[in-house]
Amino acid sequence: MSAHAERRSVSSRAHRACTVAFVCAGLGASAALLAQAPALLGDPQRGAPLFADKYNCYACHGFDGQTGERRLVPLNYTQDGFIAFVQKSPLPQMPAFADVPAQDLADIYAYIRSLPADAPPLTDLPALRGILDRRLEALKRYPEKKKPGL
Amino acid sequence: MSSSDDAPTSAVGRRDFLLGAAAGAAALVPAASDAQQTAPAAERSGVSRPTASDARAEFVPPEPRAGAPIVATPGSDYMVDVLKALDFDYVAVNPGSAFEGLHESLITHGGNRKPEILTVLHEEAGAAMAHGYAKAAGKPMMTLMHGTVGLLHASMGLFQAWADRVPVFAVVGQLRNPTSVVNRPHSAQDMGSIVRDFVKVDDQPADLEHFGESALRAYTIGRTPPMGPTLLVVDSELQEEAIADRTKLRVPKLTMPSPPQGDAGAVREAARWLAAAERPLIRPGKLARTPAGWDRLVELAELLQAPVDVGTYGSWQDFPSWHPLYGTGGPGYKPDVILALEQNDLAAAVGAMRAAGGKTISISAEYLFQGHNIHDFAGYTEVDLAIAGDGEATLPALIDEIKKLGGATRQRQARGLRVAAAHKTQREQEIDAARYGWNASPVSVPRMVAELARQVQNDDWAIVSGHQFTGTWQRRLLNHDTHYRYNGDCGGFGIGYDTPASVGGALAHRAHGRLAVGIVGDGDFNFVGPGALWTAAHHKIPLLLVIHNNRAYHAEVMLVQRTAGRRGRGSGQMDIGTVIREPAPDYAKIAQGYGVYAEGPISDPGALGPAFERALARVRAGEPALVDVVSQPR
Repeated sequence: MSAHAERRSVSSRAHRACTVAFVCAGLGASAALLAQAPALLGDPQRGAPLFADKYNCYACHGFDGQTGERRLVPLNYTQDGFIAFVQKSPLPQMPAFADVPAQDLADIYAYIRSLPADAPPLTDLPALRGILDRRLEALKRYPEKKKPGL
Repeated sequence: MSSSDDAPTSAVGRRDFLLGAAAGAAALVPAASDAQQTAPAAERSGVSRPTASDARAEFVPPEPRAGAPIVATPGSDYMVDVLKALDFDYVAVNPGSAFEGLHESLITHGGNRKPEILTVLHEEAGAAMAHGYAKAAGKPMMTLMHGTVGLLHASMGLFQAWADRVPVFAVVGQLRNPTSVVNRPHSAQDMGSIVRDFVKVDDQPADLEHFGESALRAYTIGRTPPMGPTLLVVDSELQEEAIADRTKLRVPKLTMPSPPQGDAGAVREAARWLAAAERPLIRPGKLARTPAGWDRLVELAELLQAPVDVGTYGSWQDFPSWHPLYGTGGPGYKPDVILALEQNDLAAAVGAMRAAGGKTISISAEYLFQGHNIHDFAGYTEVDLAIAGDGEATLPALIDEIKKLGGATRQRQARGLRVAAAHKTQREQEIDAARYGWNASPVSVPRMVAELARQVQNDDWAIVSGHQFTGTWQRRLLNHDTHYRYNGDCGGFGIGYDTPASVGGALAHRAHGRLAVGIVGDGDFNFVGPGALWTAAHHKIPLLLVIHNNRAYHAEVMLVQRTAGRRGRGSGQMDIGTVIREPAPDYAKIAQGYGVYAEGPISDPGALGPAFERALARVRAGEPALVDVVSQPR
C-alpha cells in the first residue's frame, strides 16, 4: 500500500481550480516562455501521491507540509512561481528538480494548497501546554538546586 | 528454544539430543551421551522430538573429546573466578563451541550469577546491549562470542562502542586445533585482528596465569579514558586444561588507575581566560563518565553563568535540557572564549571564533587516543589552549581555579539572566513549532514525544535510545533533569544500535526501578531488533519500545532525491531502495511473535495516548512492550 493510499482523502479539503497567473516571482523563470505555455489545471487528488510517493516531497516537508524543513503551508507562491521555483531552485538546501513535468508540479501545487495551514492553539493541546507549563515552572525555581522533575 | 530449556538440570535439549544421536552413531561421544540419547526430549509444550532426518541435517561433528579424562577443575573455572573479580553483572551469550568450556563453567562453577548469562539471538545485539548497559549502569558488561563468525557478527556493535568511547568487555572463543569441517573456519591465526581497528587492546593468553593478567589489564585499559571496548581471545584447550593446584593460581588484585587529569599550569591559564571572558560558551561532548561529571558541569556553568551548547546530537549525561543556561545563549551571543570538553569536532566553531578574535580552550582525553584506521575525528583544529586530560577528571581543578580568581559576580549574574531569557524564548518557539502537524496522520514526531511525556511524567523515567532520528524532539520536550534521563546515541552513526542498546540500558535501569523507554526507527529495528526484544521478554526486562515508523530509510530518501534533482533526472524513481513499504512490515505482530505485548500500527494521533497507557502498564509490571507509531519522517 502506498504512503498516499494510507492517508485520508484530500478531496474534502481540496481547492479544485487553480488559477494560472503569469508571474515569475523573480525566481529566474522566463516570463516570455511561461506566457506562451497553456494554462495548467492542477488536480490535488493527483498531486497527493506525487507528493507522497513519486517525488518524495514528504521526506523533507512532512506529509501535510507542516512538520518538515521548511514548512510549506501556507504556500505563498502562485502556481507558476511555484513551478519555476521547483524546477530552478536557487537554494542550496533544495536542488532544482528540472526534470519534473510542469503538469505534475501544478498537481502538487494544488495538493499543497489544499492542506490546512493553521496549527491548533496551545490551549487546545493539553499535552503540549503541560510541557510548557512545567518548563516555565522549572525556570521560575532556578537557581534553586532542587530537581524540578518533568 | 529458550535458555530455560537448556538449563543443566532439565531434560536434554534438542541440540544435545541431535549431537548425541549422531555422534553416538559415529562412536565419537563419551558414554554419558549414550544415556542421553534415551532421555526424553524437552517436554515443554510446542517442542517436538527431532526426527532422524533432523539429526543428520543439524549434526555438527564435535571436536574429538571421546576418551578424554574427566577434569574436575578445568581452566574455565579459573576464568570464571577472574571474571567474578571484575564484578560483571551480566554476560551476553550466543552459544558457540569455541567457548563451550567457559559457558559450562559460567553456569555450574559460577552459578550463573555475577555474571548472569543473558541469552542473545545475534552477537551484534549482544555487543549493543553491553554498550547501552555500560552507559546506563556506569560499568562494563561482558559479551561472549564464538570464534570468527560470532566476532564478525559482533564487530559492528564493538565498532559503535569504540566510536562512543564506551567500554565493552568482549571475549571470543578460539578453537586451537579444529578437526571438523564445520569448526575449522572458526579459528584464526590472529583472531583479534578482526576487530583490532576498534578495540583499545586485544590479547590471546597462552596460559591461565596469563589469562588472569590479561583480563585485568583489558578491564583497566577499557575503563581508563578515553574508554573503549577490549577483546580477550580464549583458547578452547585452555578452557579444558586441568588445573593442577588451584591454590597456586591466584586472581590478580584489581586496581583501577585514576583518570588522566589536565596539567595544573594549563588548567590555571584556562581558568584565567574563562574568568575574564565577557561571553564564555561551554561545549561538552562525551564528558560525564559518571554522575559526578554531570554535577561538575552544572557547577561550572552556574559559576560562570555561561551557556552550555550540547550541539545537534548531544551526548549521554551532558547537561540538563531545561536548565536556563542550556543552549547557545541566543542569536546575539557571540562567544569570546569557548571551552570545549571532550570534543573531537571543533573545526567549524574554532574557525568562526578565530575570525571574530575569540579564543578556544580544549580539554579532552582524545589527545591521548592512538591512531586508528577509522577516523572518527575531524580535521586538525587550531585551538588556543589544548589540554590533554579527561574532561570530567579535570573539571574540579578548573572550578577551583576559577573560584580562586573570584571575578565580576554582578557581571556574571547579568549574563546569566540574558542567557536564561534567550533560553526561555527559544523553548517557547519550540513549543509553538510542535503545534504544527499536531493532528496530522501519520503522527508528527513532537506529538509522539509529547504524548509519551504526558504518560511518564510521574515516573522515574529514562530514555535508553538515541535521538539521532527524532530531530532532537526528545531533548526539547522531555526534561533531562538528571544524569540518567538520556543514554545517548550510538557513536558511530550506524543503524542497528538503538533497539538492542535500549534493552541493555533498560536492564541497567531495572535494578533501580526506573521506567525505560526507547524510541527507535523502523530501519533500526529491522536490523537485530526483533531478536533483542526476545531477550527482553525472556529475561523480563521492562522496556517500552516505540517504533518511530516512517517506513523508509528516511535520510537516504532525501539524499538520493536531492541527487536526482541536482542531476536533473529520475526524480520520480528515488523511492527505489530507500523505502520500507509494499508491504509495510507489521512490527506489532513481529513483537507479539517474540512474546512481547504490542500495539499498532497506529497512525491516528488520537489513539496514541491510550496505546501508550496500556503498554506502559505492562512495562510498569515488569515486562517489555512495543507500540508501532506510523510517523511523519522526522
